[in-house]
This record gives sequence, C-alpha cells and structure tokens, in this order.
Amino acid sequence: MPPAVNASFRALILSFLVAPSAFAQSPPVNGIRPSDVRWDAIEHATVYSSPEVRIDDATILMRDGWIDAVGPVAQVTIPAGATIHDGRGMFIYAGFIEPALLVDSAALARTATSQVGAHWNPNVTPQIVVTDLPPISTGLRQELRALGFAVAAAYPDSGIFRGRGAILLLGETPAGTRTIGEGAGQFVSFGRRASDGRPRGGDEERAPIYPNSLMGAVALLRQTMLDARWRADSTAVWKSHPVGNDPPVAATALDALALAIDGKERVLFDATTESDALRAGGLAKEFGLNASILGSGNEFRNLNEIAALRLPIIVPLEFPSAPDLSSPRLSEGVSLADLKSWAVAPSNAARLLCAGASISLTTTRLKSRNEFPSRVREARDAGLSESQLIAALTTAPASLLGLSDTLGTIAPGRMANLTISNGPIFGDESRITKVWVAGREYDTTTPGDAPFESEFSRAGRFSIALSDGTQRILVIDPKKRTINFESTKADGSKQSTGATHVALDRWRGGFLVEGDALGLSGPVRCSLRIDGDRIQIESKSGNGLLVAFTATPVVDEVATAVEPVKPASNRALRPEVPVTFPFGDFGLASIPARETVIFRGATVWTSTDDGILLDSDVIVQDGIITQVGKDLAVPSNARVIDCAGRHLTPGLIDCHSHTGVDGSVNEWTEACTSEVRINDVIDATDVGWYRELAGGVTCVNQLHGSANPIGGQNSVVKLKWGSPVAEWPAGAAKPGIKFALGENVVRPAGRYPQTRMGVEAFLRDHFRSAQEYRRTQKDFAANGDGRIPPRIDLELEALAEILEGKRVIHCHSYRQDEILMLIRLADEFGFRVATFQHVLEGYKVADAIAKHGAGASCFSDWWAYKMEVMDAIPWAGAMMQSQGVVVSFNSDSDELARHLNLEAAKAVKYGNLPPTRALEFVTINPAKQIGVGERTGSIAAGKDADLALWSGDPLSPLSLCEQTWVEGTKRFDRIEDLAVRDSREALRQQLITAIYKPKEAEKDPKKPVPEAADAPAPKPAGLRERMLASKDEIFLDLWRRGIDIRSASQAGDCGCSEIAR
Amino acid sequence: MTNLLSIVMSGIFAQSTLVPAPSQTAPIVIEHATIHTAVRGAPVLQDGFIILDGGKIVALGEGEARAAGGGPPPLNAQRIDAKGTHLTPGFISTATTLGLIETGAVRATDDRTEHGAFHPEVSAWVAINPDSDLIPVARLGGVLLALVFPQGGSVSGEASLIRLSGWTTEELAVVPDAGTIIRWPATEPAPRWYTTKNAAEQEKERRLAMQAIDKFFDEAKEYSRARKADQLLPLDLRFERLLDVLDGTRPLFIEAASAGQIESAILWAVDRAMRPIIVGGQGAPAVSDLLVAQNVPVIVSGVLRLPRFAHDEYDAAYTLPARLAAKGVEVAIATGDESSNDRNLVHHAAMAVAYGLPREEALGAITRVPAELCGAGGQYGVVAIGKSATILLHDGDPLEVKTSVRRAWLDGREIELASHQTQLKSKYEKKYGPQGGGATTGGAVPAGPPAQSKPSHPPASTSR
Repeated sequence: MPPAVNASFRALILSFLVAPSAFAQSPPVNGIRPSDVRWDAIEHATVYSSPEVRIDDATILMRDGWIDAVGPVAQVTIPAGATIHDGRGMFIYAGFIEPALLVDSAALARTATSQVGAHWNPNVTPQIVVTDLPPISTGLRQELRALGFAVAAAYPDSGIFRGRGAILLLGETPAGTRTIGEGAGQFVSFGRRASDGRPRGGDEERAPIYPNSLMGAVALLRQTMLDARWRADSTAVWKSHPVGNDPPVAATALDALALAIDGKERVLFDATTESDALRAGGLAKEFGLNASILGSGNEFRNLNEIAALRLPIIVPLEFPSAPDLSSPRLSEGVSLADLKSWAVAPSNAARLLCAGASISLTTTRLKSRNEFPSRVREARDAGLSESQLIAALTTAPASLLGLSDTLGTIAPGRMANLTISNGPIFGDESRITKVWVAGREYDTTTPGDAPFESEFSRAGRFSIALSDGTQRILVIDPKKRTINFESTKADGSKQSTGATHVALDRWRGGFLVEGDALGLSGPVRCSLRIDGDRIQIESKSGNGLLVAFTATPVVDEVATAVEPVKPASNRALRPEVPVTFPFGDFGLASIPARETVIFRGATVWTSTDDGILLDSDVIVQDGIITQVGKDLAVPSNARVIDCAGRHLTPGLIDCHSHTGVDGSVNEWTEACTSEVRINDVIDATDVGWYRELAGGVTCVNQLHGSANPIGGQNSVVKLKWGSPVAEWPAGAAKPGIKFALGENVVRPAGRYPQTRMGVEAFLRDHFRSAQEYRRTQKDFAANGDGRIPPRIDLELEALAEILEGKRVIHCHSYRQDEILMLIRLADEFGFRVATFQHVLEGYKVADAIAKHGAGASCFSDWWAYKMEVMDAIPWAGAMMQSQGVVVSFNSDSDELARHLNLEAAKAVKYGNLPPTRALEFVTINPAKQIGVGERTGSIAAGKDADLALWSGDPLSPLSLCEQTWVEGTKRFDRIEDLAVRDSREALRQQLITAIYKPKEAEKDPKKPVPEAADAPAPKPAGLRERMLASKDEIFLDLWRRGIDIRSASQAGDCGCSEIAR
Repeated sequence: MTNLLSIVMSGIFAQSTLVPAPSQTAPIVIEHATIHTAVRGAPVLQDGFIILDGGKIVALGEGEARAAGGGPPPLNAQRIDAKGTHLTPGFISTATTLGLIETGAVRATDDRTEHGAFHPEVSAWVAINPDSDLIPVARLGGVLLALVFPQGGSVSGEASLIRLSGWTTEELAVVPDAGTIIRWPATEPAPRWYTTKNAAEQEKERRLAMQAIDKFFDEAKEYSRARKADQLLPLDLRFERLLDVLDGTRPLFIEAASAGQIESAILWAVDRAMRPIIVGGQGAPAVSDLLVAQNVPVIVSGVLRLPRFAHDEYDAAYTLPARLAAKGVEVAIATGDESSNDRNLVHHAAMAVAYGLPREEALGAITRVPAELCGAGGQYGVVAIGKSATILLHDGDPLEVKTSVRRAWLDGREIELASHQTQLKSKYEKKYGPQGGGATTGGAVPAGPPAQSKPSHPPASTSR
C-alpha cells in the first residue's frame, strides 16, 4: 500500500480512536466518557523490528494505535505524556498474523442459497462475507492472543465458493475488533471438508448435491469462473446496448466473483491434499487468478512441484501422530509412507522455504489450537530458523494480505501490534506474556495459569531432623501428588503417615498432616518450598505454633530428583529419511532417466504384420524405437540388455481402467456430466500404477464410471511412475468421453432416465441441445455486435465436440439392443462411436458394430454378476474380431490390469486366435481404439519405446514380467524391485524403533485417537449418512477379510456400488 | 479307439443334451497321457495309462496299458488314445458359493447368507441349484467338485463338498457337512479410509464380537454335555450341528486374513480342542510356526488378487502359497472370487507356480489338499488305484491359460463339456457362418422399426 493510502487509512482509524462518539452505531455511554488514552512507551526491551533486525535495549513509542518510533533507548525520546512500561526481560515482535482463520458458515450459506440472485448450486456462495457472520467469540480472540496473534484473516468455511474473508483485529471493544484492509479475498475449495479433508457431497443432510466427486468440484469451479466472466461481459454489453438485449437477471453470486476473475481480488484455495495444491495452481494459471494456497501440511510429498507454482502457501502445523505399533501385529498395516510422514512432517515448512516457496503459518487444521507453540518448536527443531519463523508469522502473512505497510514489522507508521515474550520467543522455556493490538495491551496469561504450569521440580526422599533428635523421612511424589512421612520406631518398625490436601506447583506447595508425623500434635497445616536442593517446611499447628523444618536429600539413598520434563528433541525422535516421489513405499528418489538401449537377442512380438521375430534386437533412443532387426550395431552409450530366452512385447495397454483417479470415479449426482474431466484428477501416486507396470502395462485409458448415460471426459496416460503428473497424459490420444447404457445408469432412484427407452431419448435430447448451442455460437460470431454473447457451457461444449468428431465416445454397454440403439443414434447425428466397452453381447451384433466402425473392448470372461451380463461368452472377442471389429480385452479392475497378458491368452483358449493376434487384444488394438495407435502398441521403428520384457512366452502364466519401459525410460525392473526390498524393510524397522517407546505403550492406545476428538453426534439419517453407514459396514467387512478396498469395485461395475439404489 | 478330439466341442450341443451323465457301464482305458497324479511326492507318469471301471480307477501305470492283475485291459473297454494330453484329477473349487448364487444383482437368486449372526445349522448342499448355469461353466474349466461355503454372520453354516453333476441335490452331495465356517473378527483397527469409526470404537466392536463367539461356543459345549446326560432335552439345531466340531471330529473353517486374526483364531480353536483350517491367510507367513506346530492348513483364497496393503510387495498375493509351502504349511488354493469365475481356478495355481510354488504342489493345492480338508481324501483329489474316477484330460500343460479341458469324467461318468455359453456361441456362429444364411444386423434406421434387425429371440432374461 502506498504511503498516502496508509496515511488516510491511519487517519480513519484515528478518528475512531480519539472520538469514540464517532461510532455512529455505538450506544450512549452509561456514565462518564472513558478517556481511552493510548500513548505508551516500552523501554529497555529486546525488539525485533523485523524478522532479521534485533535491537537490544530498545524503546518503542506508540500513540493512538500506531507506532511513532522505535530504536535504541538513547535514540528515542519518550514524550512526557506517554505511559512508560519497563521492558526489561521482554522480547518484542511485530504482532503475529493468523492468515486463515476458518469460521463456520454453513447456516449463512444455506440462507444465501435461498436469496435472490443466488447460484443454483448451494456450494456456490461467493456473495457471503465473513463479517456477515456473528463476530468471532471473545474466547477465540483470547485463545489466539495467547498464541501471540494480533490479527487474523477470517474466512467462511462451507461449500466450494465459500465467500469473502476479512482481516480482523483480535483486540476487544468495537475499536479493537474492527476489520482492516479491503478484505481477505475469496475462499474456494475442492469440495472437501476444511476440517479433515474428507470429501463431502454437498449438503450431507439432504439429497446428494452436485458435485459428489473431486472432478465434479473442479468442473464446478471452472464453469463458475467462466460464468462470472460471462456475467461481467454481458452486463457491460447490456449497459452499452440496453435496447434489444434482455436485461440481466440478478446474479449476486456471480457478481461477487467479478473482482477475483479479473485478478483484482485474492483467491485463497483450500488445498487439503498436496495434489489439490497443484490443482489450485493449475486453475490459477488457467484463469489468471491472484491465488494463494491454504496447504495441507503434506506438501513435502510433492515439494518441488508445489514450490514451482510460486504461489504463497499457508502452512498448517498438524503433524501425524506416531502410528500405534505397540504390537508387531499392528505394524503389519503400517506403511513406510505412514512412518516417513511421521518423520518428515515437522520439516514441511522448512522444506517449502528451502525449495523457494513463500510460507506463512496457520493454527488452522490443528486438532487443538493450543498445540501451536509446541508445533512451532517442532518445526524449529526440524530446520526453521528463528527469523524464518518470525517472518512466517509476521511479514509473510502481511504481504500475503497486501498489508505490508500496516502490519508485520515494528516501524514508525505501522499499526501498534506487538507480541511480547519473556524470552526468545521460540525458546523452550519462553512464554508469550502480552499482546498489543492497535496500541492496546492485552495480558495473555489467564488468571491462575502461571507460574503453576509445571510439576513440582523436586521429588524423592528427604530427611528431617526433629528437635527431639529423631529423624523423619519426607517422601514426595509430585506425579501422584503424594507426601508421606516415614518414621522408624525404637523397635525398628517403620511407620508411614500420609499427608492430605496436597497441593504442589513447581517450586512450592502445601499439605495437611497429623502432627505426630512431625513430632507435633493435632492436625498440622504446612507449606513447603524449594531451597536449593533442600526443602523448607513451615508448619502451623492448631495452637498457632509456627515450627520450621529443613528437609535435606537423603544421601545414602538415591535421591531421584525429577528431571524437568522437557520434550525430547524431535529431530532426534524423528529421523532423517529419504523423501521420494511418489511418497509411498515404491517411490523414487529421483525421476528415472531416459536411456539408449539395445534389447539383444529377444523373441520380439511386434504386434504388427511381422508377427514374432526370433532372436532379434530392438534399439531405443530418445524414447523412440529406432531400429528392429537382427544383429544390429550397438549405438554408443547404449545399455545392452541380454534377452536370450526372453520375450519382448509392446507395453500392454488397458482400454478401461479406473486406476489413479483421485476421488470418486463417478460424478453420479447428475445424468449428464460431460463437463467433468478425469484429467483434472489423475493421481500419479496410486500404487496401482506401480503394480500394473509390474504386469507390463504402459498405457491406460482412465474412464469415468458408468453411473450416467453421459459421463465424464476420459484421460489416456502413459505410466510414468516417478514423474510429475503433468507428464502422464498421452498427447496423441483422441479426446474422449465415457457414455453408459443399461442397468447402471437407471439405478439412481428418482432420476431420469429409468429405462433403456429413456436413455435413448435422453441422449437424443442432449445431442440436439449441443447442435443448437453451436448454432447459437456461430450466429453470434457472424452478427453478434451489440448482443450479449452466448454463455460458454462446458457440458454442451463436450457434446458439441462429439458431433464435430473432435471427441470420441467410449460407451459402457452390455445388451445388443442398447448397442444398436447407440449406433443408430450416432449414425443419425453423423459421428462414430470409438469403442463399446464391456460390450458383452457385442458378439450378437458384431456385424453392425463392424459396419459402424466402432471398436469393442471387453472382458475376456466376466459374466453373471447382473442380468445384462448373463449372455456373456468368453468367445465374444474372437467372434467380433472375425466379423472385422477391432477388439481389445480390458481390465476395469486394478487387479486384472496386472495380468492383461493372461487375459489375452484367453483369446487363444476361447476362439483359437493365433497367439500374436491374441496379444494384439492388449497392445495395438486398444492403442487404435483410444487414438494412440500411431505412437504406441506395437514394436516398429519410429514408435514410442513402450516395452515389456518377459521371462518367457508372454501368454503363459508361468512367465514373469521382468522389465517395463515407457518412452525409453525403465519404469519397472523386477531385479531392482527385489533388491530394494531389504533396505525398505530396514528403513521401516529403523522408524518403528524410533517411534516405539515402551513406556508409552500402555498409554498410547488408550489415548483417544484423534478422530475420536469430535465425538460423532447423532445426526438425522440423511441419504448420504445412510450411504456412508452402509459403506462403513461393507468396507469394514472387506478389511476384516483382508481385501484392499481398491478391489472392492468389481469389473463391470465401474464403481457403481456407491450409488444409492 | 475314439479319437480324442472327435467328441470335443462339436458345437452341436443344445440344452436338452446338458443332462447329467449316466453311470459308467463299460471300462475305459486312457493311454499315452502324461499323468499328474497329485499324490504327494509321486512322479509324473510319462506315457501313462489309466483304467476306469465302475466309477473307480482300477489300474494306473506307464507304458502299455495293463489291467490290475497285470493282464491286458478288458476287451469291452472303450480305449482312448490320449497322446499329447495331460491327465489330472478333477479340480476342486474351495470356499466357493457355486450353486448358491446365480446373479449378484438379483436378490432372488442369492441363497448365500442366512439371517442373523450364528447359523451353523444351515448347510450349503441343501440349497444348491443343480441346474445353475454357473455349474457347467465351471466344469469347462475342469472344476468337477466344489466345497461350497455359506456366507455371512459370525458362524455362517456348514460347508458342503458337492460333485458338479447330478439330477438332484442329494446326488450332488458328497460330504454334506464338511465343517463349520466361522468368520473371524478383525483384530487390528482398520485405517481411516475404510471407516469413520476410530480405533477405540473398532476395538470395542471386536471385543463384543469375540464375546458373542465365545458365549455361543460355551453354550454349545454346555448343551453337548447336557444332551449326553439327558437325551430328552429339547433339541437345539444350532448346537446339535456343532457337536462333532466341538470334539474335533469335523474341522472349523475359519476365515481370517491378518496374522493377528490367524493367530488368535488358532489359539482360540486349539484351546477348545477344535480343529481349525484357515481360509484367506494373507498374513499367514508371519505365523507359519504356529500353523506348522498346530498342523493347521491354509486355504489361500485367491492368488490373482491385490495385495492386502498398499505397501505390500506387488507380488505379495502371487507369492503367498510359495511362502507358506516353503515353511511347511499345507496349502489349498481357491479363487477367492465370484463363483462365476471358478473356471479360472487353475490360473490361480499357475500364478503361484510362476512365483515359486513347485508345480506338483500347485496341482495338489486344487485337488488333493481340498479333498483331504473336507474328509473326502479317501475318494477324491488324486489319481490312484481305488479312488473315484474323477479325472480331466487337458490338451496341453494344465497350468497354461491356453490349455483347455478336452474330456472329463466324474465318478467314471463322462461329463459333457457344454454350457449356456457354448450354446450361445454355436447359435451366433450360425448367424455369421456361411451355412447360417448370412443374416446381418441392421445399422441406422432413420424412421420406423429397424428393417433388417431381426431379433428372432428375445433377450435371455429381462426380469429385474
């Protein structure tokens, strides 16, 4: 902010402070006007005027809420009118700024949804402002001040477009709680709950609301931003051409986004996973947003990519607690990734800084906000320097909020916000004692709080010599809060007398004891205090007699003074571990390199008309197959792979997969979801990818589920395990979309269509709609001067692309009638269906499929799981092929995808296909079907070096996949996989040892696990609740049976089990 | 001598021919086959012969076929030259639901799960549908016997060994009550993505489930004592069925996946002097010492399956049988899959071989071991003199996916290798084939009903 603005801003505040009556809405004073003088000087303090500059023995001069001067005592003259505070022992920092305080806005969002100008989707409420909510409570302000915060940027927390934030002072009285600056910007999410990052499907107590999936949330974000832009454009057109254009309808939601979409208002993305952070970066770039990210704390899992976004990141300090490993049986289910997360999480902030990111710290996402100081210290131990920590709490959030000229440093002209500690602020023993907000001082210690926070620091056995010459032993156990007096009788028997009403704090205490314990009579009230290594006891008996005793440590016994309980350094506890990408157990320390390779003397299955080439060589350079032949010359620097006895095939291609889709694979809340894109939610870290590579798979068609007649846009990826997700999409692939027919799409109750008849009508209606949409656009392009432009509708865009042949359909289908229906429809609208997926009755109408020119991608032998698959036969693939259909076998299952070669072998078993033709069912044929046939799927010079090396005949279950290469880079090697198993296990054990502390073994499991903290309140059993409950039951049974939930969706179901029936 | 292939897949089967085969009337001599007997430690018989008579194997050997006494085979014998083929025992699908369910999506076809938590009184064989379309499909994959498991509850019911050909359930039943099935509670808390319940809540549920199981078996024990003392006590069907499980006569099939589950299940069963068999067994290698010490076999339910945890080695499921076998644990292999895929049982065994299980042990794991587990080892599971003539002839290595079963005998009765699926295949081959009149399916029909599309038959089933 330029100085001029600052000056006027300051003047504004002054006017409030000097003349309270200026509060137009304030009630009359009941009594005499308070003077409200704010003119203070703190002298002789240690002042950090900025994160890097420390001034010892300094004075800060403040007036009316602003800092007038700061400097060494000698250089600052304190005016006579100022109140002088002795700052000796004080360490003073600019007041901390909480950059992302989330405020429950569910109720306000619901209200906003029903108001004029609201968006149709209840997740879109950008028009609400956090200041419309009830002010944050005094308790919360106190809590934040106790942590050192003077200012917070607060945001509404509900929905996807959640609304606008505000920057609030954390003081008291109207002046001390006002908002400053122009606002904190729009807060948007990916539809997950802010508290725990779990997905939420709209309002959970009502019917499912779009979107239920992550990809749906991204689609809604994208469409809404386009709409906001269109709204602004069309309003401008209408203003200049009011005649002939319909006046715009009220659209307060879209209007609220006008500044943000122009990059003039900050947009904070709630990124509850590290991949959401990348998604936020992508959207920010796509729409030119002034974006920042509220992170997850897991950014270390994909550090470089996130740092490369160059977006400010607000980093939470919630670290995973150590997994419960009290029994070796429990460690069975704990992954190396879990253990590594535990070890690495505290260094997340330091790693981000080191990678060049700009970070601020937040208390948000902490299970308990009070843990903030200890978390900060853990972050310090994990590598953040003092000045970096200060910056992350002061200058960085100030800059993030655009208030660097007002907040974040201690300098003349800045707001008088100070955070004061009794020692270097992040020191283990330091506490925050005071916070100044706009020139007013607040004590952060709560009454009775200090200094009694610690346990009595002496324990053990002490000897007391009584005046009668006898001796008593005083036994103090501060943990149990017990005090006992032991005496030895003449006969040698021992007697012990316990004190009652024992009160102990760190250095002093009191108790009540029977007098004979101390050679007195009657009940005796005592106080005690520490005196070096001795303990002084003062006793007052009933008769008012005051007797003093000195207790000295018993020397002949081991006096076990309790070590001041100090949390062991977390750096020592959480060992250094290598960070890989993906972060999981099979991640890589670095991106594997492309190589020049010659595969020597292999049996080469070309999947071309050349069939099998015996004892042949294949040369790979720059990711491309450059030569195939016999006795080829070895290129320089080439790795020679001896393939004697081995078989080399094209990398296998899975034409129907749901592997690596982040979030739900079905956006099932609507029957047409052509706007959602699998591309937005590719998960490059899914272990399924690695397992599929281990089965020779190199390329996959990731499809939306089959819940909707018109599903989402597909994604074709190469399996580049270890590389950033941006490199995965296979560029050559034809853009596609998933359609679905039959039982699955009519399953959601109460939704059109409910019959196969309705499906046909639904599709026709949507294609007509897309035709009309394009016509309108063309009309406008031809003569649109002075007219409001047509709105971009991403749903219809995708459908129009189908009609234009720019996007192809992969259609889930089973029965012959529905297959013919789509062919008729496609012929009517003049496009060609790329593949019928599953197509289990395709063999009944193979000639029609061939005539239309569609491909068929089926299971080899799945059947019987529902009515429409009862006529499936395993000969279908061969039969369709014989009619001229291009046929592939797919998996639709993370498990089946691991041995597609065996699926291909079934085309030999059922249908007597020659083995080479059978292999083509999982190589060149699916490549053709998804539009990558020119690049991959066969072994020939010029094609991508996507290869699988087998120990024997690839169609034999007795052969192993030994290596898998994607574009000239080795992505799987069985030898290497076997070789690293031991070191992975060793690292596991090292981390388990580090975590496992016998003493805590009994304690830990009983400790309520974090999730228990918010006890599940009984909620009305909404549809989603019921679904979740039944899902819980199903999933828990799968867990009991040891079944990975990834395998829970069976082939052909396309994840439809989650749909309400 | 009939030629092997003359009978096979002639493509003229119609539904009426899918009748249960009649009993064996004449001896059958199969010569020149490679015979995998599945007898533990027995060598493969190269150029082997076998004589089947009266539903039993009466002679077996290498070289020239000889009758049991050493003389020539009976003159009335049907002689089959099986050169180039492999002969194995019929496969046994274990822990399957074959015959209890037809179509997962249609509740009315699903007889797997009885109401309630404890129903040992229900027995699988009672509800097997002998005319299930799934049974002939399984037979084509060499599965001639099935150990069928009811599902659900804590005590699911009684497993039944059935033969996969016959007119009635009575004919199908081989061992009607082969053992009681228990589904063991999870012993470790499920991670967050499985459930909204935290570890403490799950632990509480586990304790409750265990208490219920204990109580049930305590009561059964009391009942057993009381009934012995007083035969006039009112009958309790549930406990009655458990009597010879409680004394270890019949086994307990305990479904358990994790090492903790397996460990606690075995200790529990042994403490009660019962005879446990573990079903599932993914975590079993960690407690293999206990399995060996207590002589507890493991039915590995699925080799072609995903590893249990994301951090498990990619081949964890593939190597499981080999890892257990190497420790000396007796292993059976099941598909762990839907019963419609029972025909792929041998592929599970094959994958185990690729990942380290010796070949003959893999074959034993789908023949001999399952037969022994359910008390039918004297009859089924191996190719040996005196055993049931339940054998398969394969047109290649039985473990290869490309290999097909060409002929099959169950108790000496030759099984017709046809199914609903082969019928559909034949039917639609006629649609396209040269002799089928070249019927074609119509394409786009701009108006009116499809002119050329002649669905001469309605879809097989449309009820929903």
